[in-house]
Amino acid sequence: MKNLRHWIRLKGLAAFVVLLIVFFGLWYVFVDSFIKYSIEKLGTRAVGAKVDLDRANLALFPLGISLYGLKATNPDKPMENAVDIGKISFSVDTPNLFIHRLIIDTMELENVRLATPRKTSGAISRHKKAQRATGIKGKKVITPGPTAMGLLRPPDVKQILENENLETTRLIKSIKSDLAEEKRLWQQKVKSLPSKKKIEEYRKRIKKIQLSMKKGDINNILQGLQDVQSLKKDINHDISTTRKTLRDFDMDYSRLKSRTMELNRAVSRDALRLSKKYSLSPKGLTHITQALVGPEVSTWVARSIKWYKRISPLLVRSKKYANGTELVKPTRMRGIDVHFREKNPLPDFLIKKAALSINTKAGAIKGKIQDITPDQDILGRPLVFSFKGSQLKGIDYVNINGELNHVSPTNSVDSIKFSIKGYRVSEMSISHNKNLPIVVKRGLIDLNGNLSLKNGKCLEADVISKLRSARIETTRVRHASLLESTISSALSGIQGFWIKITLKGTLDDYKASITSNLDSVLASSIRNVVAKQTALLKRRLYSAILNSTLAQTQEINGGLKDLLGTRAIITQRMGELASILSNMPQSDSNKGIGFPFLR
Amino acid sequence: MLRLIARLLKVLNSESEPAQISLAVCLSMIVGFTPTYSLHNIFILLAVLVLRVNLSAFILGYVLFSALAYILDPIFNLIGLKLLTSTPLRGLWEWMYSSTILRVERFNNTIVMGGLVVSLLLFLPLYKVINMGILKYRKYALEWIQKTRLAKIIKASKFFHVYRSISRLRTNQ
Repeated sequence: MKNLRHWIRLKGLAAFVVLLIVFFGLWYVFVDSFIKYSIEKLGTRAVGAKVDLDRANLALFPLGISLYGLKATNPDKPMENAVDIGKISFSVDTPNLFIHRLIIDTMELENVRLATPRKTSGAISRHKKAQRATGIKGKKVITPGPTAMGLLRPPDVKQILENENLETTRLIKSIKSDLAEEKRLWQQKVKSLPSKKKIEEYRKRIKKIQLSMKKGDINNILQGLQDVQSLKKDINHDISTTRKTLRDFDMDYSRLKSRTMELNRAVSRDALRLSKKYSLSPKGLTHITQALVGPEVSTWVARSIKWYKRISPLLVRSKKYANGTELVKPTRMRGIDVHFREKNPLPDFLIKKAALSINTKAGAIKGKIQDITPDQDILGRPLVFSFKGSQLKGIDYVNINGELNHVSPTNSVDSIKFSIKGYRVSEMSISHNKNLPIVVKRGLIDLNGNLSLKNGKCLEADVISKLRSARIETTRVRHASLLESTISSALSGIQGFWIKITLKGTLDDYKASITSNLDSVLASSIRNVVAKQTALLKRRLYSAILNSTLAQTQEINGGLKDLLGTRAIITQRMGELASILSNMPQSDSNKGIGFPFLR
Repeated sequence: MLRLIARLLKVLNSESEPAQISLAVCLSMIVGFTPTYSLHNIFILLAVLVLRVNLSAFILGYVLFSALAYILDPIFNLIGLKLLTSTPLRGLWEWMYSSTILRVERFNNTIVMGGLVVSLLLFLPLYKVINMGILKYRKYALEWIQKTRLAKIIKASKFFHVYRSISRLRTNQ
């Protein structure tokens, strides 16, 4: 007993209890502030703009947290909150919390409001923004059509030519390079023709034969005849080679010449292609709706993609494996957490159900989101959400359903389906084109859409918007083009139309096509105007391309002329050789031996 | 710091048993080598307070081993990773992983596992070495050290005054 007392210090137990009480007491006093600070810090980092929280409250029995006044700034509009949530309350699964797992059975979000004004700016410094890990790289806002707004006004020819890659320019470049190459080749070939020196030698050989045969000696005459035959053979060979060279030259030259002639046709083709591209197609007039609503659609799509990219890192956590076991978060000085197989695996963070009520001007839209976690592969269930609103002010009903399925991280599918019926609009501007303002004075809109994104890359979307019982008003603008004025008067009588927007491609590079029955409605009224505008544009493009390539075309023609000098040299050599041959002693056996110098 | 060193010297020279000092140092090694907020450290703290081990030695040891852990962390990480990913032990880890208490202990963290294994392996040898060291020090070095010029300089220093005042305080107690 004495020995035990020698080793045990009972006062120490009391000290331990006091220490624990002090520790937990301090923790309880400061935990609310700590939660507030953590949410604001982590939220700001995730959103890329200030996240504010009025206060946090921790309840111990049962363990739960209530957050009041959570406001997340819209990073694109620092004086506006993207979302403003009145109260968030949830209870936490305590045993799981001890093993660093935050499992929330039900989270309730009350008084959720979107796009509320801020008193102070919620922008954060560039340095902090750079730290934000959203994965938004190479942001690229793509307009739905290459010429959207320009389609309605005569486009600037100079600007078109600056932006476009012309077939004419490519052809000129190719011809110039060919011409230079041919010049080089023919300079070499001319060198291989019988030279003037060689022709002079032929003449000397003739003179020598003549002198030798004049002596009258039979041996000399026979030798002379043999030499004449040999000389003739050499000259004929040279003539044949030169003739072939001339033929080759003519072929090359005519090929270059025909390519030069092709230039004119290329200019016509370019003018035709570009006039079609930068005009409303006279046949289908398929671009007209795109021209009217394209910029609006483009802005909305770009904004949606931006928000999706912000949210998507929260859906999947990158994982490492070693020896078949999962390694999570390698942190310096803090080690790596190795995760093992469990009987009933649960993710580290999970909100089983979040119920929320979004307050809009039209009324409350109730919604629920199930299974929010960055580890869907562990949970084995996707995130599912649905929002419903009926008997709203100015809307018959709203129904939005969706699924963010990352259960198989390599084969993820995110999809959303929405339907809004009987959305009453008044004074709604559907075109911000200053020369063609279109305002729906009153009408009802039905909106249906399906969007899907596979593997975070392949985007497919179809959205159909129907406007019915509408009164459309267009204002005549002084500087409006003829086409804009024609569209404006044609639209005034329309009572309804539909627009279908189709998106296909990747998040960074997608193609948007916008079709509508407006196209066919307007087609008849504007067909003639469009045809005239297209023809005019084609003529302007043709002359502009011709003018811009004039200097280069002249350079090519000059080069061809220079090349013709080579032909003159070849012809001259051939003429000289033929002349030598015609003045040579005759040795035709049928006609007997005739020597001009003996006549 | 001056007081703490003085207190340690006091401890070494006091009547405190070598075993009490050695045990304090060995326990401080476990706390120092593993992340502070680990479940086992609460039990170590309880043990340090309840058992008559030397608190000064424990605190000084904790400071020393924590500093050492910053250098040794990569080694603990490697050892922990090797053990936690070893195939023969997987069954054991999976069993432990399914227990909430053991999950709270965070045994599946490489630094916790590496640091704990190393400190447990070193516990007994270190205990013996320190024990023996203190005995030898008291027997041979203490008297000789007190006679050296350095000791005389120290005795004249402010530090020694602090040390003396602590000694007196203890004696009065």
